Amino acid sequence: MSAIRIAVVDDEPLARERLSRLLTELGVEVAVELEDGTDLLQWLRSDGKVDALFLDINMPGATGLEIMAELPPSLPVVFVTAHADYAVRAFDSEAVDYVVKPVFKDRLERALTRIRSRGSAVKEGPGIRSASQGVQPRFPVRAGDGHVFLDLRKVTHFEIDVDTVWAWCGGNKFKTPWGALAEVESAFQEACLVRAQRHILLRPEMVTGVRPLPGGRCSARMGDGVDIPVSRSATPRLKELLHLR
Amino acid sequence: MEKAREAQSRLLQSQMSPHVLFNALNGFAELIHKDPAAAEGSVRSLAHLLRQLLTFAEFKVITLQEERALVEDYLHLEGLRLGSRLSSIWQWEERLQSRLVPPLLIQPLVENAIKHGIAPVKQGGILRISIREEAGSLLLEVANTGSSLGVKDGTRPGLGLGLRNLKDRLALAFGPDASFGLAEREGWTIATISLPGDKIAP
Repeated sequence: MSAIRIAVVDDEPLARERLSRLLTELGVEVAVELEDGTDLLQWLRSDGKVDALFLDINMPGATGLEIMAELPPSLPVVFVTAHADYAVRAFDSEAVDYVVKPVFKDRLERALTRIRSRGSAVKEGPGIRSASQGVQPRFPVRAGDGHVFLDLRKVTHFEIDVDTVWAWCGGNKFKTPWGALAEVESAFQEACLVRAQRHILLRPEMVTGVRPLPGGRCSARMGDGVDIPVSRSATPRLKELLHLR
Repeated sequence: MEKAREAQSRLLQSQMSPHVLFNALNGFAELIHKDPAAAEGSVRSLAHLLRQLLTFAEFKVITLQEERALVEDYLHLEGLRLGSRLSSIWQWEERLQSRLVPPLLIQPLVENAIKHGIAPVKQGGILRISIREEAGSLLLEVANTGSSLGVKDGTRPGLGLGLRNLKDRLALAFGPDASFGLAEREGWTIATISLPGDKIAP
């Protein structure tokens, strides 16, 4: 595999040195170190080419989050910051990963894995744990009087209605062969599906944003724009899978 | 007693923001590889700073000299992060430094000046910390160049938690005799605490 080419953007000299050194040791080619977002945009405009960005959030001028809005959506961004409280907005902005300072090599290695899997796989929301590995990801759903095969990686959530499980995909629902959510869970044991409510199983990979709700609950914004309320008991599990602490 | 407890709890709330600590630790982690002696010096500064912060929560008053030592440790950590973007000047009348004042009056102003004035600006800025006596009052002043707070044009948002706490602590300790003000003059943002000089020992 050819080396990933990245840019490091941080206004703090030592923080830049640290990121560059650790990433270089991990086999990454650090194409450029820049001090702020303005320099980054300028560099990209003058034909700078990278596969991914490691971006600080609090910088002079525009914040990393503001800069991200100016970037091509296909360019993976990993946020690196001392503030843990930007995580929700970072996921809203479809960052591949969110690393808190102090940064260490093992954590950066995980971020690189996410960048790599994002580069090859279907774009599927924020780069959280790739749950579909090692799982038979296709299942049959009813289409007219026949069946088509749906890819689990395109499903946002499953919903049970009496004794029918529906798979939601791109804002439409499809009738699955299952009669209980427990059957879905056992069919995709490694997929980290979350029982958001008694009748809903959601796929954390398709969550693009999370907002807190009163009473320790939260609301998950799915890739197709639907908001799903998550129960108090399921909220900690979802947050854990999304690396929100 | 109630008043003392409240002052203490406000003091604890007003201590250093956690991200300052996390940024500093990120710097340490790199310095260990790059310059072990500097890393050791930084650990010493941080340890000293943390110990002082813990100790000061127990005291109603400290000397200005002690406050300066704490601020110097704090500046050491921030200097690690900001490098040459941060420079500081002390205008310190030494005859005043044995004066006793409530702890953590200057440090929150320094933290604020760096956060809002110096860190947001690419080329950084200058921090000027002074103590002097004027018309019987003891003045503690922290001034910075760099980003304007918008005091004049009214665009500045309300006081942050740190400064509100500071004002409350001043009121609890001195009533109406102490005051806090923010002003802008000739490119400097200036935070001034005025204390009733004659009431403070020695």
